[in-house]
Amino acid sequence: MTELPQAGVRNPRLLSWLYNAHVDPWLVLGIVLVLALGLTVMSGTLGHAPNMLFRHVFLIFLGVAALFVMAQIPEHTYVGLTPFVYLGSVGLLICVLYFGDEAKGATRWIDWPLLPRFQPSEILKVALPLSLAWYLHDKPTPLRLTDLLVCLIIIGIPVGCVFAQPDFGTTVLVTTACLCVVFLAGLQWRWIIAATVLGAIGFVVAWRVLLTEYQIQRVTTFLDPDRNPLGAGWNIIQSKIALGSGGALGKGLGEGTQSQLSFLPEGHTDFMLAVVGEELGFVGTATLLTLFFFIFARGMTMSRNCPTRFGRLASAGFLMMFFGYMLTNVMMVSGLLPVVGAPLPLVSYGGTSIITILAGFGVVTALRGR
Amino acid sequence: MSESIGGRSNGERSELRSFGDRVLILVVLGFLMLLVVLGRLVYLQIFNHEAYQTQSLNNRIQIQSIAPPRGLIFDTNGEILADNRQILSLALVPERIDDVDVLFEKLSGLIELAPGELQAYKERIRDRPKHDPIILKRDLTDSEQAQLAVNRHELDGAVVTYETIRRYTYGEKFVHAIGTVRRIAKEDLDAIDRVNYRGTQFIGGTGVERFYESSLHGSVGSRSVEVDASGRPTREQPEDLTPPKRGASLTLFIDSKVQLAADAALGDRRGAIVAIDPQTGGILAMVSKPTYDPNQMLSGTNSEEVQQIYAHRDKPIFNRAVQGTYAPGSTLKPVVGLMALSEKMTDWEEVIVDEGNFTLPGSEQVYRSWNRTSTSAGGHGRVDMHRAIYRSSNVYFYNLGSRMDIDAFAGFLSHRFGLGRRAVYDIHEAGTGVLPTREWKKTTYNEPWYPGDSVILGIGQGYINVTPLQLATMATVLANRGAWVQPRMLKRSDQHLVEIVDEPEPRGAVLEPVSMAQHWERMALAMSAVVHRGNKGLDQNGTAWAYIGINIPYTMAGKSGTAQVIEASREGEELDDEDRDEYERNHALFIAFAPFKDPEIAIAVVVENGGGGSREAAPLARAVIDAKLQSASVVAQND
Repeated sequence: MTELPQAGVRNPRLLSWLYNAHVDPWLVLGIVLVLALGLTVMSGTLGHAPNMLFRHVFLIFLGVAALFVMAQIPEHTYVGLTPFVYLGSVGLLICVLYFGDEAKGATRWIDWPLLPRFQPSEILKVALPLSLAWYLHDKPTPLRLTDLLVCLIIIGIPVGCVFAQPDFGTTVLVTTACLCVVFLAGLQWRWIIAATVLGAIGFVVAWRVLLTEYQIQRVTTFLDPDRNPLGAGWNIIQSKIALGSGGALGKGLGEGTQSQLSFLPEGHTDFMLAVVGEELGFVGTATLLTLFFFIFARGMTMSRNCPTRFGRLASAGFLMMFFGYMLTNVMMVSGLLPVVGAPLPLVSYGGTSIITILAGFGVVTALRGR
Repeated sequence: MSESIGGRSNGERSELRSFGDRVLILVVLGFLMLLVVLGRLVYLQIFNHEAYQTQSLNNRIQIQSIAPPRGLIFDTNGEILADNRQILSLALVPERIDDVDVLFEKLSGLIELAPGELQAYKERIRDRPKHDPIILKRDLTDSEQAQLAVNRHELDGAVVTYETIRRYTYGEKFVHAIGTVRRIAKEDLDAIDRVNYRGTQFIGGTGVERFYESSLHGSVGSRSVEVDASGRPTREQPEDLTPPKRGASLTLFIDSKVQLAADAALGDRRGAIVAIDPQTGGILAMVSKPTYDPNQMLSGTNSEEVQQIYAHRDKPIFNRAVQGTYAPGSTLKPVVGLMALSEKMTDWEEVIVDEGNFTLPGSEQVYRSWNRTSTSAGGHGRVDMHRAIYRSSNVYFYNLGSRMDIDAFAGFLSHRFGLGRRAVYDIHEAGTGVLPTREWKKTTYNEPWYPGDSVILGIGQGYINVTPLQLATMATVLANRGAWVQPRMLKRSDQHLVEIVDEPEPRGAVLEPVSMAQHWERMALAMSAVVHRGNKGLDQNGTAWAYIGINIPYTMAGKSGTAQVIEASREGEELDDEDRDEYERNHALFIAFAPFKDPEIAIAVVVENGGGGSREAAPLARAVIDAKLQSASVVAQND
């Protein structure tokens, strides 16, 4: 894996092959470096479970393949397919609520025969930016109120299903990224100010009425993890110990005692960054975050250069999802946000997330035009 | 791209510009957030690195304790009395069990499991780490081990573990002599040094095991172990090993031959025998019956049998030798005589006419002789001190008792003979008995001391109560002609013991005045007449001669006693007539020492509800002394 980008930079034939394959070499370089870094650390964490590691590698290849395939599909096909993608996603999310698999107090998974187990809410990361872009691509700027309301409905239906699972983290993240799409589409500043005020009120209402005990507990635990050090606060405490004990240069690959001795729960999924920090130190985490920003910035540049409004909005929306997830995860792992169950994109173990994100970059690539 | 550039309207162009601006805003916002997050990582990973480093170390390095091997216990000849052995036990590891009911069914098909064990197991797994094995059955037999080993593949979660437990060579025969350990209970945790007892399951419960607990236990060792989040060790760090220090081994005065002889002599009868070496005060034998097997108590998981031991009517757990209290009866007579002699209230020449009855002046209460019958009042005719001892004249000693000051007498008994106090050095649970004084009677019964109380005290009845160990101590002092020596269990140890504050005083540190020494010697002589004076005709022989004195190969001095049992009704128990008859019979007592010159053994025998002391108790004393003196002669021959 690690040889690929280096060889690509040095070898003009590979570079030209990438151009011919209709992908952006810089974007691919960033993605491949992040994948490589993540996989290197994960191979230490999952050393005891080679089957899981093998599955992860396989899914990465599947995702990269998806990236290349999606990049070949012409824009009008996406435009045509978007309504069906949207309806399909909503349908799946409703199915989750009625036939889903329950794990850790939430129903998020679909486990149907002949299909791999997957998490439909992940699909929203791509489906919702596409849907909003599909609706907004021919609407005038600045945005009319009716268009804004339609957008809110488009967001509200699937996100409401996610909230009901319950999945508070995904709800907030997806909504935020979608609101960015609306913002990019030309939302007027005074509405933004009004929405902020309303949002603040809504937050208070949500806190008092809508959140379940489980969600509130997660948030309060975040505010004072020492209050319940062996219960819900455990993850945050152990993750901070992992990061902090890693220091500047880390304990070395495979030497992270926090993760290797299972003090750190979810060390291969949501808390993967803590493992990176413990084993590779600040150098590792800073490198990873810089790569993430590089991908984000490169993607946003591509999005700004998109020939169509559909492409601009859809790709920017997806990139906001991507970067939002990354930021939320890092803040959660480092104790700046409550534990809300947001995987670190491209790095955390989890098939649906990996494939969706890589496929999403395929869409971004396709929409930048030729 | 080229086709759309030319066709752009103004609206499109402004939309594009606005989009570009807003993308820039979002990217800049994203960058600022990135800086915040990086700042947080610098704070955690650079500035607070050391604090988290420490926490990480605390997380994974755990100090594990290594229990020290308990000190061994030997008898006076170096024979091992208590050591440690490894037993194999069946344990279950909760985290490895899929369905505990199925596993139980399989296990009970292979080995015998007490009913209710499943429930007990389910209760025990609470609040314990899931990887911690829980003992289901202790001390597996070879065939049980084989059964488990053969079927191992279908017994996931069942493991065979090692445990170190105490082994008592002679089991129930020695349990009341050396005591026993017991499992550490919750109540113990406050009293012990918890660090030093980590990994240890047993603690001294009674006897020497209890008194020398600190020394027998040793010091705990430790090793650093890297553990994972569930506390399971991952790898050992050999450089951090502190080996445990094994407990002190104790050599006792207990002589296995004497102890076994005492055990055999008492047989199935209830009672106690204590034998002491008069030269050192060392306790040679200590038997209490009925008894119980400590090995069964320690290894058995069959709590029903253990409950039976505890609930038994005759209290096998109760150590009669040190805690049972009995009226000394006539065994007290030599001491009463010595008291009267030392106070110059009488001499060896004074003669009292014993016609079987004694009355105090101005009283109608009649105190009677032991040999009265339905047709005769009994009595022994003209008796002096010597005859009063070998015939055990009650009237003579009623008379002496009536003359004595009780407080002075009590002081004499306590100071010279160790009665009324815990004289033994190293038996924690030894009782004090009851040594009445005026003040004692005032506080206990709120009554003054009546002359009649002194009269019956003259023959060892009334308020006075002594333990068999105190009786043996009394015999020891008589054997030593008045020289005090403190009774003790421990002969020596291979380590310095914290329990030994002072070295024992040598025998007879306080010298007798010459006049008194004569009295002691003559009293010993009178006691030897109890055993040896024979063939003199009816009512002229020593009381014990007929039972033990006829073919005796050595010289021996003794005194019989028959303690009246005041009330037989025992707490909350219904006795049938036959039992009542038995439990109301007198206790038979005998004290003795031998050989007469330079005694090697002093002994006290109590047979509960045995009847007459000379008939029932004296032969037991003789049997034990036989064993002691014969084993000594064997040693002498070998030398």
